[in-house]
Amino acid sequence: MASGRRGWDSSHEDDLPVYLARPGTTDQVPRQKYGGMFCNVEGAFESKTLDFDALSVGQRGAKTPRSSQGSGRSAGSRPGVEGDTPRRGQGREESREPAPAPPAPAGVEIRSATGKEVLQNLGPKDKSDRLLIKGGRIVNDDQSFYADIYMEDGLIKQIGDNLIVPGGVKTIEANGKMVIPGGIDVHTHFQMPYKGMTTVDDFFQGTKAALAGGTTMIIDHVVPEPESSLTEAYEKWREWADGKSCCDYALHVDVTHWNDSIKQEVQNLIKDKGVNSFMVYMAYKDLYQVSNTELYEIFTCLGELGAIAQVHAENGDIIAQEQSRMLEMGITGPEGHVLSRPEELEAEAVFRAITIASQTNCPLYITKVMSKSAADLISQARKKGNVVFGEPITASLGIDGTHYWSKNWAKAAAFVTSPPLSPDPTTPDYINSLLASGDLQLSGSAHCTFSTAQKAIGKDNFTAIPEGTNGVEERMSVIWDKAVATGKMDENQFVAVTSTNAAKIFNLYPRKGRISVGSDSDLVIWDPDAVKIVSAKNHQSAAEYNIFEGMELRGAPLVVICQGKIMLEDGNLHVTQGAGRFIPCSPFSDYVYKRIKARRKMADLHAVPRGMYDGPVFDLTTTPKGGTPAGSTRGSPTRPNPPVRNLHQSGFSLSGTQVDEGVRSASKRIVAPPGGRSNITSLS
Amino acid sequence: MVLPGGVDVHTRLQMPVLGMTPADDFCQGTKAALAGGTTMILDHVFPDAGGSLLAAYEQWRERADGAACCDYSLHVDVPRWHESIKEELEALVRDKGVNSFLVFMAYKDRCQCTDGQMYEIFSIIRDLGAVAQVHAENGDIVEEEQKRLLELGITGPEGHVLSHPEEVEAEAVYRAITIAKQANCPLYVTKVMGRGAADTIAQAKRRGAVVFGEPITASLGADGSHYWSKNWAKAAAFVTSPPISPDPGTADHLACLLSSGDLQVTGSAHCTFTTAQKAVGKDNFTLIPEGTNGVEERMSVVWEKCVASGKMDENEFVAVTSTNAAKIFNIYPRKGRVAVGSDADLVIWNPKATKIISAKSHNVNVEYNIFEGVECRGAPVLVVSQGRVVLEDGALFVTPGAGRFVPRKTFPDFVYKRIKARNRLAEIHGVPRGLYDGPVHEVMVPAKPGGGTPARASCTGKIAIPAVRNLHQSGFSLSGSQADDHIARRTAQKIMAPPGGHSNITSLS
Repeated sequence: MASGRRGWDSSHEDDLPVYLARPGTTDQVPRQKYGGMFCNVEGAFESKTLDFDALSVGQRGAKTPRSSQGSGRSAGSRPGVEGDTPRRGQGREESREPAPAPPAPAGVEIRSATGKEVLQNLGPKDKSDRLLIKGGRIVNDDQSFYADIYMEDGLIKQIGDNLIVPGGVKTIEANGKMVIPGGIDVHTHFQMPYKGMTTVDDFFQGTKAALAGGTTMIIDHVVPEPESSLTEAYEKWREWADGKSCCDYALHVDVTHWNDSIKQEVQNLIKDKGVNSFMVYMAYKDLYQVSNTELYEIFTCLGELGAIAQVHAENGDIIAQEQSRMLEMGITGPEGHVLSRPEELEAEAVFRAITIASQTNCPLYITKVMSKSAADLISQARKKGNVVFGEPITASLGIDGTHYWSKNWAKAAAFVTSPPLSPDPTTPDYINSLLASGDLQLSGSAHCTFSTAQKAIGKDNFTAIPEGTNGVEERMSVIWDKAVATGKMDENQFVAVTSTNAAKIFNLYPRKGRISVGSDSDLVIWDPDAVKIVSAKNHQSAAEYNIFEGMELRGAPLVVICQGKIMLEDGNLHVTQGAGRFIPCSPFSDYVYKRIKARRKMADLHAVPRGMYDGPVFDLTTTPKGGTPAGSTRGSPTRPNPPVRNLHQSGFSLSGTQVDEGVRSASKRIVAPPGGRSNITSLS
Repeated sequence: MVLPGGVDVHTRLQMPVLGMTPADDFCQGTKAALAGGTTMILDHVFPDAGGSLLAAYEQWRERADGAACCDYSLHVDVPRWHESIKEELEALVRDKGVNSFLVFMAYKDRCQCTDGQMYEIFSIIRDLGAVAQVHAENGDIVEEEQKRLLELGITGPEGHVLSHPEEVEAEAVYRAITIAKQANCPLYVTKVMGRGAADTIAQAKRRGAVVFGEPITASLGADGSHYWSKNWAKAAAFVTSPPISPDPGTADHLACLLSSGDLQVTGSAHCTFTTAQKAVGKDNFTLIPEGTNGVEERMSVVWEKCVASGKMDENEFVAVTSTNAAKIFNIYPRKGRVAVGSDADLVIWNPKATKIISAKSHNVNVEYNIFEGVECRGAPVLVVSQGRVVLEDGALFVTPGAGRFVPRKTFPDFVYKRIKARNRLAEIHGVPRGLYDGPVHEVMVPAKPGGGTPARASCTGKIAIPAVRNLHQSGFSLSGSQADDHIARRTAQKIMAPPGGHSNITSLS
């Protein structure tokens, strides 16, 4: 404060503040520390823990010389750290010197504590829980900065430079590589039963593939059979996943039919079971499909309970018609799948779902955005203010649907998913652009793999081909290659669409989706320059076909850390079956429901206070029209047999006051002002 | 200025609601039409739920032949889908001169069609060469909203507009367009009332859909804020569905789209009920019979809103009030044009005349006119119908029963040229592949001759939870050539199975 005042006083020229002094002034004006036009607000950074010197991007990695103050400070504090970890200085040297090539080609080095430090260790079991990542560039959805990360017990304990850490910590030298929050795959179908078969990737195989691709959490869909209990299905999925999952997981529950007991179950799942998102199907006629009325009721219910309504958006009625038409025409191969599910039907259902959600004031989440028109509608609706989120999947971001016409049946069948991949080759690019611009918010994989033998059930009828494609392993790399490497989005947006937004929407933030103190230690050291060719020969999934076969993808995880343990290094996976925990999601996620709540307060409807209508009322009975005015008999009185159009299915009373007039709901607001009688002959 | 007489594409002069008939029958309604410069109307036949379309058609003909003062034609509404619908539609098209059918997406449990039924009806209509009309509102949502509002204690006419939000209309329009596009059927959206619906139609046209939109007199000229009028009778007079938009900018927006050609024709949806009839719903807005006036005001309102304001010229005025309608419904150039050989239905139009619309001076039988007090420039001075002067110096000389039924032929060029071209284009080719000869999962083996539930094939080593997911309701044959392989398919089919074209699952291309 004092220095600020001095700044004002010291400018003698016409009482001008110093920043308005003329440029020609020869007075030596002391540099303003506070109060100047370009100065920080005084005290703005007091009691803030972030060290902005350390945070500014590019200082270490770009090898620009540090400011003298910064280097002096770090030099001063270095000896203390060196005592703990002797190799730290060495690591720093490596990162500074351009010449010496790091021993590992990847540029990341993992060192276990050896020698002296071992003696200081409390025990061998602690050792594995403690991990230090040094010299990494932390990339969150809002900013990137250089800092070291210290993790313990599966949580991030410290972030910053020159951390004081216990001895004997396993250290990863990131050498300036990006450290990003582990990916969250919001849509998987592992171990999904289908017609007595099960998808070939169970929770073990699937989560292993996820970890190999840099995804450290999945959200799987529970698909109860129609007419069965949601809770039972949920418990079944929990059992499967708890025993096999290698990474943390959460569950969406699909609502495949609707009645009051299901409503009760939904309530219980939200309250006690940690589920906050439910999916309904607008497709699969006569199986999962729900009607518009049911949609309205489900959305109303979910909106009140604070959950998120997900929809599989396709018009099932028309698809059924188109399918039978295709089969009639003799088209039985996988191309019939895409021909019977044109893009317009997806867009139509998206439009309808948005309309119903907007009527019921319920947040909407569109799963599997596969086409341009569906993506456009979501983006338009967002511009109109609807609370709607769109989830493109790996397949729609990475590849087009021209392979449905492949001469190789097995290959064509491998692409069968619904909504289908768009045959328009420009679609992936377009969807990537919308993902980058924020019109779509997060990405899933809809990983649901069937072997070729399983797909071959539909070899003579495309409608019988089990639906689903792979993508859990490729998701992060596909987005990096298609969106970041092409310059559509930056690394921070990459983090947003692969993990942060998902964590926010499903209320897992900041535990997941962010690198900050207290968050889970699910991290990925990302190598933007790695190039990998996707192939079924070396992927983790058990499926014979990889729909991204032969695709060259830039960007790959170097090291994957999940629950504080190194899961992937040097291309080697170290996974533990059953290590994954169920992460409960609580309702009313702020990111989604703040707006919904505000709207609920606004949406108060008022009736118009009117006097009772006291004019003549048409007598509906066909028998003598007592007291009905002339005009009602006009028309042709001799007309035989008037066609009765019962415009309203509910019962109605015929005249005068209604029987139930006094017993309407408490919220009734009609007042009858004295003397406020309306008169039908006045015209205003 | 001599114009072709107006063609009002949408009236309901005999619409039965709860056993009541509208206040304006064919005689009164056509009289009002002539007074406003309209020399032909297209009325909607509304068959009752169980009845046959043909019987209803005959009933309407009988009544109109006896009473109509001007030429008329009929649309037929399809209130419900049933097995013999195809034969009925065919008979109407072939013998009765009807080439347009309306389906309802609203009025749940009464005449609402499901999406699947709409698709089938549209396919039939396309094959017959007729025009598919829709009343576009999502009936499911409307019903839920009505319930909610009644629970909130909102029972007055404002509940009507609150329960029919504009988005719900736009949604239905979008859906109808999608289904029509799939069925390759020309679509005609009746009563375009909201901004969203009109924009949806305009966008669909840009994408190439064959779709026509019909704003009505009420949506072009009336003000939906009257639903909140303290005068119940006045508020009730505005009840129609989709409702008149409470947004004062909507009328202007619709007039712009009409002028730009995004919307093509104007109707009136004239369906009037007296206040006493409307009062049936005095304690429950869902019971108020729906409908507004507009047949008499239509031409003047369009002139005032579009021509006098400089949005369109007089030629476009003729197009939207008569020519386009005549083209779409295949009565051009008999109607909708002043030419040698055309019917002598003419109007001498005075663009300078001003008239204030009022219930006191209108020619219909209701106490309220929803355009009350609107000042319109432009009015007919002289109206000639069938070569006879019916309006001169403000005096009407009409003869009930003089109106003739104008039969309409199928496949109107204006509509179907494009549809036919697309039909030829829409050939779909199967991919010539060899038979798949790889392994097939066991679930195949217990084949289902009954097409019922799939058998529980437990895959080895996997948890066998037989989730019965019958993905598709139709039965399917399981392997080899199809049972109908030998039957000649459509000419458009081009599937070939070249010998030796076997695919191999192990190759990756």
